[in-house]
Amino acid sequence: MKLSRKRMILTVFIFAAVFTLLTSIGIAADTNKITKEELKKIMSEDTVLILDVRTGRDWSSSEFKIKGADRVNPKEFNTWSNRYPKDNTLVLYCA
Amino acid sequence: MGKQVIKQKANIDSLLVFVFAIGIMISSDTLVLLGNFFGKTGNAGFFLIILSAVIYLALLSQYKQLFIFFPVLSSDIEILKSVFGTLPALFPFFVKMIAIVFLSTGLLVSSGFVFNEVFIYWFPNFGFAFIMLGLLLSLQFLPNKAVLYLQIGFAGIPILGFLILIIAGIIQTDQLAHFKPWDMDTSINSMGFNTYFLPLLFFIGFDLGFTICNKSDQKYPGKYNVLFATVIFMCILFVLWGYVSLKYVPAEKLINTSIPHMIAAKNILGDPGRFIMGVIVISGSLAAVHALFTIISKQSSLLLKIARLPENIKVAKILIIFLALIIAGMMAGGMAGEEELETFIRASLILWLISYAMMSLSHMIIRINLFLKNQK
Repeated sequence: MKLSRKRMILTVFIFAAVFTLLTSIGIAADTNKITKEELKKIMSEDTVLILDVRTGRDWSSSEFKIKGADRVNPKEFNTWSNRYPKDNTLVLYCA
Repeated sequence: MGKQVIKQKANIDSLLVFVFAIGIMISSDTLVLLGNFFGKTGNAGFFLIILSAVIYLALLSQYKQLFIFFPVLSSDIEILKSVFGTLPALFPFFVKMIAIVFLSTGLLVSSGFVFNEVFIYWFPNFGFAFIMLGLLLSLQFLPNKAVLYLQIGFAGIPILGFLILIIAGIIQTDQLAHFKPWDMDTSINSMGFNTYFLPLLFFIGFDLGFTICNKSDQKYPGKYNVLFATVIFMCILFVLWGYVSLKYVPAEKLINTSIPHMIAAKNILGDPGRFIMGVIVISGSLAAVHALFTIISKQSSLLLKIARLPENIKVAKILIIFLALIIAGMMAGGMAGEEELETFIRASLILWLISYAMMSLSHMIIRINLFLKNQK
């Protein structure tokens, strides 16, 4: 009885971990992304702007902050969206 | 043979007290505060940290005397119940519940980022945070001894990592030193009122070591010596880490960065330094959250005893699962991306300081009552 309860807990844990992993990969997969190699090629262009939209720990815990990126709050989109020319390419750097 | 066994048991108890007491002190949140603090204060920071350690040693003396007044009691909850009544006695417990929810969310998410950026870049950071949470929850279902002994690894690894970085930082002489002790002219007036009190947050959590060994003084009189030594050890560690941080990172950078510990580690030992600090951050998070889960589990059983309800281990486990679900919900709901999380974490630490103040107040009340009784 004791062994089957432990096995059940282990099974639940493994299932939960795999489910979470697949979900987070799946959610990320739906977004249009640009690879760092692709970004490196275009980031020096005048029409390309990098916006760091990470907030809270998503930003503070990260070691990687792109030099020259504008840090903007995604919740205040209406405030900053008109700041940038419409024909520019905006690359959003998120968590 | 009997004496040897008793001595061995005492040594293990002492080690457990130490590793649980330092659980929160070695977390990445403390490292961030420490780095920013030393950037702001320079050599004045060494003095403020030592002063803070002295305050905690005085607090520990009060704890020790309280348990002399109540020799059969073995927990802060029981002491507070004797002095203030049942409801105020629950305050330290609820503070820990609040802390575990917010602090764990922050620490686990930070660890996820570190794992992704330092070790395996393609592994989703939140996936790692959830795996850590699931692991920590599962560990609570292991036998009691395993739960306790795991903390030795979780806390021991960061300590070892720190010692490696500190020794490397001190003995390397070919690095351009940004800071020479005693050269920095830091005006205390420019520091800001809050800065003076920041070091009080660095030693929070010592009572987790106190609680883990809930034997009364009669059965384990040595635990205070261990806790005194723990505070002194961590004070020395913080001072040395502050010294090497200032030696390798300009003060302005330490103030303005959100990852002072990572920058210092990288500047000390390059990429190996980053890896070591990555291990420190992840293991430190495991130590902090595991300590909190274990103590809450233990104290919930104690609360049942105080309420004269039959002890039921299932209640503790259900509570832990419930807390883990809240943490999972907060991570999934994007709480880590909210600026308010830092406010809640800081608030929970301040409430924790208030719970220490309650114990200090208990000590004063009892001393005054004894004095008045003697006068009669």
